[in-house]
Amino acid sequence: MAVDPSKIVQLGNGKNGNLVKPYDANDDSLLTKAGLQDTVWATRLDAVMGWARKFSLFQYPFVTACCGMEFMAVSASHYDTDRFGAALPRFSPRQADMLMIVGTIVHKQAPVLRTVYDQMADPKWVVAVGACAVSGGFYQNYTSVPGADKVIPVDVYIPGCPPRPETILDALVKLQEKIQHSRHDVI
Amino acid sequence: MSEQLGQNADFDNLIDGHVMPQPAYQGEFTEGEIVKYYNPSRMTLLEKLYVPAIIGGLMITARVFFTNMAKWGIWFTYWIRGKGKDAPKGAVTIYYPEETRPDYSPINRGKHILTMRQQKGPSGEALPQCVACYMCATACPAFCIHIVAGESPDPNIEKYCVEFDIEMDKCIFCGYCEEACPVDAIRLTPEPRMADYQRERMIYDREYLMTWNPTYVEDDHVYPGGHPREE
Amino acid sequence: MSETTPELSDALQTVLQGLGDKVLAWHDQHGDDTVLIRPEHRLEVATWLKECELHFDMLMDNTAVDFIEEEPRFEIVDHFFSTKTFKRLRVKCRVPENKPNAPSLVPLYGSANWMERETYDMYGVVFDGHPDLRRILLYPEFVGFPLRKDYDKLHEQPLFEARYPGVRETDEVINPRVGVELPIHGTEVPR
Repeated sequence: MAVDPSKIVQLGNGKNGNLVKPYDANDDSLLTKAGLQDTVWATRLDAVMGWARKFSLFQYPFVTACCGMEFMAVSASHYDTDRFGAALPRFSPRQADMLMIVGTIVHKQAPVLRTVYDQMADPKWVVAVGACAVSGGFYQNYTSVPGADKVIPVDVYIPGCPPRPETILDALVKLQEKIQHSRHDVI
Repeated sequence: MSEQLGQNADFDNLIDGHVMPQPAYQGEFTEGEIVKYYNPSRMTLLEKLYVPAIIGGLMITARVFFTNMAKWGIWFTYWIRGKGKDAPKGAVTIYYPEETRPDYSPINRGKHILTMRQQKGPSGEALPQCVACYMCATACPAFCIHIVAGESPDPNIEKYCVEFDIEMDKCIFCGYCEEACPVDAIRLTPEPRMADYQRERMIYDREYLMTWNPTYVEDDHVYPGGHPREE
Repeated sequence: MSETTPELSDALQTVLQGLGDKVLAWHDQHGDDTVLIRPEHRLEVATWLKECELHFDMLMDNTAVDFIEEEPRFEIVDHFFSTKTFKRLRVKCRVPENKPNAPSLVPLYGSANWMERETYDMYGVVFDGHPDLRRILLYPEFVGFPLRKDYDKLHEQPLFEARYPGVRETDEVINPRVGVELPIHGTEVPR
C-alpha cells in the first residue's frame, strides 16, 4: 500500500523540480536579443494584466454535492469573497473566469463538466473544492471520478470534507498569486 | 387505548399543546370519496398588493446599510485616534488573512501533525512517537495513510515508522486516526491552510509532518508535550 | 392457506386468505408483514392487492437482493402501502440467474416505471412488459451490473475517456502553463 517513492516530494523546498521555472521578463525577450536590457526600461504589462484579472474573478459554481453549503457560507457576509473580487456568480459559463468544482463528480457527469469548461472563455481558472472534487475522496467505487483533474486541468486544490471557509479563502488568495505571476498574452 | 394509558381524549389532536386539524379520513374508507387538500391563504390585502411589501423590503435593506455606515463612521473616529483595532466594526465580515474569527474552534480538525519523542536517537536524529502499529491506517475510512514499519535505531524502542505518508487530497479530516492512535503520535491541528497547486505535493511525508509548525492558533493547550514548539 | 395462526396480524391474515396457494411463505417479524410468491404471479398478486379491501394503492419501493450462493439468485422485493387503511406489505419473489425475468408492475403503478428501471440498472433483473427498460442512473456504455456481488468493487468504467479519448492529454499542449511561478507551500508563505 505504500505510495510510489518517486511521487513523494520534499515539501517546502523550492528546488524540488516541481516548481516551474520562474518567469523573468528579461529572458529571451526582444530587449535581451537586441542587447538593450540595460538601456531600455520596459514596463511589465503582464503585471498590470495580472493585477486586473486577479481582482475580477467571476465565478461559475459547479455545485453538485454537500460542499455547496460551505460555498454558500464563503459567499455570505461573514467570509466575503467579494473582498477578493470573486463576488458575482455567473450562471452561464461563457461569462465566467473561474470554475469552482464543488462536490463529487461522477462518471456520468464528467462529459458535462468538460463541456462547461470548454464553453468558458479564456483566460479561465479552475478550483477544485473538497476531497471528492480533488481526488474522489473516500469514494473508490464504480461511480466517482478519482479527481476532477482527470477531466479538466485544475489550478488550485482545496482538501477537506467539507473545507473550512478559511481554507477556501486561502485558496482564493493562492489563485490570485498564481494569476499575478502568470504570463498574460495581450494579443 | 387512550383510556388505558391515562391520556386525555383529545390527546391525539394535541401536538405540543396545539390543536391540530383532524385528518381527512376518519375511520372507514368509503368508495368514491374525494378529499381536497389545500393550504388556506393567510395573506392580508396589503401583502397581496405586492408593491408595499417590496417597498418594505427595500426599506429594511436601506436601514441596514445606513446603520452599518453609521457604525463605520463611529469606527473611523476610533481609527483616526489610533484605536481602530479595538473599536467595534460596522460589519460582521471577518477579514480573514489579517484576522481570524474570535470563535474559531481550537479543536477544529485540520492539518495533521506527527509528534516527536523528547529523547533523540543514537545519532542525534529526531524520532517520531509513532510505533508503526497501523491502527490509524486501519481506522482511516479513506485509506489515505501509508506506513512502512522498521526497526528503531534506539535500542529501547522496538518499532517505528520509516515512512509515514498521508495523502492530504484524500483525507476527509474525520479524526479517526488520532482517536485510534495508542501513543498519541498523530494529531489534527486547527490549521486550515492546506490548499495547494499540485496534487503531487499534497502527499505529506514523515519529515514534513514532524517539522512543520502550526501557526494558526497560538494556544499551548492544543499541543501538549511532545511536539517541539521551539526551533 | 386456509388455516392461519391467530398470532398473525389482521392484514397478513386477510392477504393470506385472499391469495391462497400463490403464497409460498410468510412472516410478520417486527411488524413487517411479508409474503413470498412465485415470480410469474407477481402481476396477479399486485392486481389483487390493489383491488382487495385493504387497498394497497401505492408502490413505495422496488429493489432486489443478490444472494450469490443460492440457486434462485435474485430476490425482487416490493413494498406496498395503503393510503386508505395505512397498512404496509412486503412481497418477495425469487428469480434465477439464467432467466431473471418477472412481470412488470407498470400497468398497475406508474411509480414502478423508474424503480424497475433502477432495479434493472443495478441488478440486471428484467421486467417483462416494461415500456421503457433502459438504464436510468448509469450510462449506456456501462458494462455489467454494479450491485451484483460478483462485480468488482474497485472496477471503474470511465465515461469521459471513452467519449473523448486523448482530450485531457492535449490540454497542456493547447494551453501550456509555462512561465508560472508557483509560490512554495502554504504555511511558509509570509503574508
